[in-house]
Formats: sequence, C-alpha cells, structure tokens
Amino acid sequence: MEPTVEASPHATNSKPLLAFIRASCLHIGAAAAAASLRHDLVGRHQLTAHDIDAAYAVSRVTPGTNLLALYALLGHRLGGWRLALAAIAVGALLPGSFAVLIAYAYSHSTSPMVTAIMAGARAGGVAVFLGAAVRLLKPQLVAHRRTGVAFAVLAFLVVWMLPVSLFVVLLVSGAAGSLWLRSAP
Amino acid sequence: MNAVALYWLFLRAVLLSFSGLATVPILREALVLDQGLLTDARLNDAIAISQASPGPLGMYVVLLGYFVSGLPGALAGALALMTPAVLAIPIARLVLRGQSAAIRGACSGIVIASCALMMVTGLGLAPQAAPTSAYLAIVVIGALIVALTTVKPLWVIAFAVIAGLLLP
Repeated sequence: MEPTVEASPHATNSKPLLAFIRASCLHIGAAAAAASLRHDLVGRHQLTAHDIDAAYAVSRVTPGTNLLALYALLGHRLGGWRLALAAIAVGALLPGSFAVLIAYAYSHSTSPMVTAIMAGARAGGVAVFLGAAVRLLKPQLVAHRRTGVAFAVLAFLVVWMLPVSLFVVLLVSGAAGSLWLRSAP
Repeated sequence: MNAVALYWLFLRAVLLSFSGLATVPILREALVLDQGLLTDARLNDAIAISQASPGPLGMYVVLLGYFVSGLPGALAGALALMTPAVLAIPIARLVLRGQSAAIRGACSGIVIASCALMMVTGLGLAPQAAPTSAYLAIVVIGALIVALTTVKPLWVIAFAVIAGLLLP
C-alpha cells in the first residue's frame, strides 16, 4: 500500500491527541516518543505500522526537529491540519515547560549537590553531543562513501580554519549535496 | 535581544538542521561568540537539562531562549521549533511523488556538514565542560558509548551525573 499523508475524515481528535500528550510527557528523546506513539496508535487500530514507518521516514528529511515533523504528519493523517497543529503544539510546549521548570529550579539553587550534578551533566551533555555527531554521520558516510568523507573533511577544515558564517557553510553544503549526493542513503 | 529577534535567529538555525543538536554550532556562534548573550557554561547547561527532561533533544533551544530573555525567549524557542514541523506535510507530498532526489541530496549535504560543524563546536565546548582530566574522561568515554553503541543518551547523562557527585 502506498503511504499517504492525506487526512482521515473519520478520525476523532481527542484520543489521538492523548497519545501525543503521553509521548511528549513520559519519554525522553525522539526515538522513545516515536515508539510510544507507534504503540498507542497502531495498538488502537487508528493507523497501521506502515503509516507510521512512512511518516517517520519523511520526518527524517524535514528540516528542524524530526519528532515534531512526525507529530505533524501523524496528526494530519488522523485529523487534518487541526490535529496536526495541536500535536505540534503539544510536542513543543509540554516538554518545553518541563525543561524551563528544571532550568528555573537549577538557576535559583545554591545547593552544592545541584552544582555537582550539573558539573557532571555538562560533561555528559558534551559527550552526547560529540557522540551524536558521529552517530548522525555514520549512515551518510556508508551511503556516500568517498564523496561523503570529502564533504565532511572539507566542511570541518573550512569551519575550523576560516572565519566563515556557519549559515553559509550549510547553505553551500545543501546546494552541493543536491548536485553530488543524490543517491539514497 | 528581544523575543522576535530570538525567534528569527532560532528559526534560521532550525530550518538548516535535520537533527536536534545540529543547531548548536550556529546558535553558539550567534549567542556566545558574536553577541556574548550567553556563556559556554549556560549553553552546556541547556544541552544537559534538555537531555534529562522529556521531549526531543532539540528542546534545548527553548532553554537558550529562557536563559537569554526569560519566558518570552522560551516561547520564541518553542515557536521556532514548531514552525518547520508544518513543512513536513508538503514535503511528504513531494517525497511520495518521487521528486525527492535533489531534496535528498541537499539533506545529505546539510547533514554531513552539520556533523562536521558539531565536531568543531563540541571541541570548543569541551574545555568548559571538562575542566579536569576526570571530567575529560567522562566526555571521551561518554562520546564513545553514544557513537559506538545503542545505549540511550539518558544513561550517559545519568552516569555523568553520578560521576559528578563522586568527583571532588
């Protein structure tokens, strides 16, 4: 069956929105939230696993936060633009509120224990950041091999050595990729 | 910086990224290096908190907005994350029609360049996050675990937090 992004006219908005709320509040990271949505929506026969997989694949090539793109696609499939916008709002505002509350508590704390926790968390954050770069890069290098390695090395050297705007680097990389990296990853 | 300017900055960064943390290099360049509105320590705080709270990792943008401009800044960050998601629906139509070779290529080019930018930025953030050799060991071991295994980032953060409590 060909995957579709058209809205389902028969879906009701309240129960699917609860699935988005649950995924947004109870799971850390996009993969866990996507798995929660899949479990809820497929388990209730609101969507097929194929629908979810197709939406997930498209969300990976959408600029910005992949999870919110997935919310938009699944929300649109289930309830049109209205549910798509509601799902995006839920996906951004609920976790954002949690994060701001934690940041507020941290900013106003003078406890040495909180300071020690944040010192460790900062080191862990940079570790995850560097590891995520490698994780993100690996499938691209597998798909594009020499051209991909050349792209990565060139971008690294340009940013490392030249005072060039990162926006420009990304825009040029996108234009060059549309010409020389067309094979599917 | 007011909330509208923050929204525009965040939106430009988010539109050129395909992963939650790929916006870090651009936002560090703008907010830390160029305008001095944040320190690397605050940026690291935002990344660490977002990885230990619900939602996608890109949620750290909301915290950057909060640290720069309070609640209006946080709202600007949330709106900047929400805006590109709306594009997913027309993009899906393009992809499913098979007109996606150039889009896929452009995405790949941006993703590869983003990874290189993330490496450079990570090396810039590391001295602040790892002031001693013990913390540097946490960064190196954690990065290797995330890069080479399927262990979830949350566990790396948890390990780092415990190590932070144990270190002098």
